[in-house]
Amino acid sequence: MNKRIGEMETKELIGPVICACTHKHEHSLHEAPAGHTGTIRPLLYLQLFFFPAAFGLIALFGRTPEFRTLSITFVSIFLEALPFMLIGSFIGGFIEVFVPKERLMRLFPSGGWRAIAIAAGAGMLFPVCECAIIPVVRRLFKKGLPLGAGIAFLLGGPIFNPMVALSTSVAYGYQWSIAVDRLVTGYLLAVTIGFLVNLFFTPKTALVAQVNNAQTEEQCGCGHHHHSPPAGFLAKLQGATRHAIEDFFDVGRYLVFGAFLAGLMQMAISRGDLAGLTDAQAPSILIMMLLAMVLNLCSEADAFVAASFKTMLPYSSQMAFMVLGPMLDMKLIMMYFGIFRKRLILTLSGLTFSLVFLAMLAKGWIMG
Amino acid sequence: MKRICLFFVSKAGELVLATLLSALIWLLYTGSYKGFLHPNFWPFLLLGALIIVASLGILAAESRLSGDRINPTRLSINGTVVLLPLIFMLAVVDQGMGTHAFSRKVTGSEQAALSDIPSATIDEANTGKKNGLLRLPEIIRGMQRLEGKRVTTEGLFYKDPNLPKDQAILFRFQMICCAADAIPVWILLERADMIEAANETWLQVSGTLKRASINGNEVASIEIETADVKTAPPPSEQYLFFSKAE
Repeated sequence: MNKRIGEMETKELIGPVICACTHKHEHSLHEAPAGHTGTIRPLLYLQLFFFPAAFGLIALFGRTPEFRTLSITFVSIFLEALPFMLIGSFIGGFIEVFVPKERLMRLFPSGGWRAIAIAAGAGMLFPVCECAIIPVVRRLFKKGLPLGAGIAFLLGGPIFNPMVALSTSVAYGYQWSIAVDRLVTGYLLAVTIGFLVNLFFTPKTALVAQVNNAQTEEQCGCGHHHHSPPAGFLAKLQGATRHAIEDFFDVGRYLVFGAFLAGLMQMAISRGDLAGLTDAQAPSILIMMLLAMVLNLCSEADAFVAASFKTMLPYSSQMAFMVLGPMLDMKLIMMYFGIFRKRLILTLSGLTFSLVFLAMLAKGWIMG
Repeated sequence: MKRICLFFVSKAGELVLATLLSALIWLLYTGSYKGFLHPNFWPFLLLGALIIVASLGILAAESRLSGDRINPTRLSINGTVVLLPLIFMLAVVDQGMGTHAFSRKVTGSEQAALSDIPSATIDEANTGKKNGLLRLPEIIRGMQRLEGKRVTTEGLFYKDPNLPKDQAILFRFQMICCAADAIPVWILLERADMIEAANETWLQVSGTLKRASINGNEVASIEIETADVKTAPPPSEQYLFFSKAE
């Protein structure tokens, strides 16, 4: 009898199924808890369609200037993010296996203001780019990290760190006031948004099932009940590696989609034309925020791009570009799908966008 | 046939990692990564390669010892998507960004921003020492000092349709971290109607440096005396980089 590959995988793979924690399970994946499907969804196979589509694109448009811009941008964003994604995934894997939940909860006991404030400033001690943060925060959520603290770290980490301070000051000719302004604004916004998300969402309503279910399981993030953790350092190392690879593939595909969208946007949108539409305060802030979302630049480089607009646009719009970009761009939004439910992503995006806009409007009004 | 399919499905994770590893090694060995990333990024690519090697070693040890199949199909397919950028990379690895990217990235005020960025590489002793050529950032930053003097520089030629017939652009891209954030570095060419070259031709031009104004922005301009078509360097050498390694 012909069987779908999904069923073949669960019944005819040689040997028992081993989940990421290295525990063997004799029951098939049909019996997996919520969040783990027993058969493979057809939509998953749709991803394989991307390969013939890519070859078709290359065959038809491979030598056009537009394709060149798209491809070079796409590949450069991916290659730049790749090592940090791997690092972040392995940090996450090690956290999963080697850091007990209780130790993590001691750092963030209540999930209130204190936890959020600490998390938003953690980038000063652990400077990581946004690509590395995603897999780490994903694992921390599985370990029970409070929602608001995780959001604050996601938003604040890529801005509130010494490398961003240095690159910002260099881009503006060693004007440290601009670097401090950027860091403080980013920190305060991260704390505010973390607090607001905490008010209106719970882990159950915010996190995808795969992440949320892990919070209620013992030790392992695979969704199965366990009676004891993997024994021995080698087994733990294998478990950490397995979790890391799982995270890397899960989050990595969203990075690929986001980087491709970024390449498309950079190919299609002219920065000069967009910025030249207006130099009035509010519209220019909006335009620069949209530009930040579509360009998908890393937080160490975006200050140089912002500075290239300084004779055209007000300071508040340049700062809007520098504050919003590390918090919310298309690549990040795509990667959030690996952690959060759609409703939280929409709320987080809207909240971040609105608060940055209002803050920059206020800054522009105060500075005159 | 079914066994072959099952083999690839169960081993797809390792195959994806091995392919990524091969790509990273190739990029580092040939130096082709500099067509996409800043040269100083190599330690991170190397670290990524080492992480993949360690992972493959651990996975190989695990399956050898336990004899069990490992990767679910879901993870294998998700992992395969990660290889998509490599296909695009193979299509453009011998090409650098050109006039289309320039038209999308240029704002007109880059020169003012470039002048404000502290330079670690410009000083009197070093200017013009690289085969007699000044690089575009050196000309822009030294505009006041070099005004009225004869300078020689090189870059990609662009006959911007928005400029008068006797004007054109000579440009390159300055990369901060990766090609996505590259900023155009450009100067104006006067008497450009004497140049018979297609867009994106690599030109070496000599002439007198002047200051011009475009849309209220002061820009460096060369009144051309000679313009020679040269063989374009590989993409990794077309870009300029923010560092002492320029």
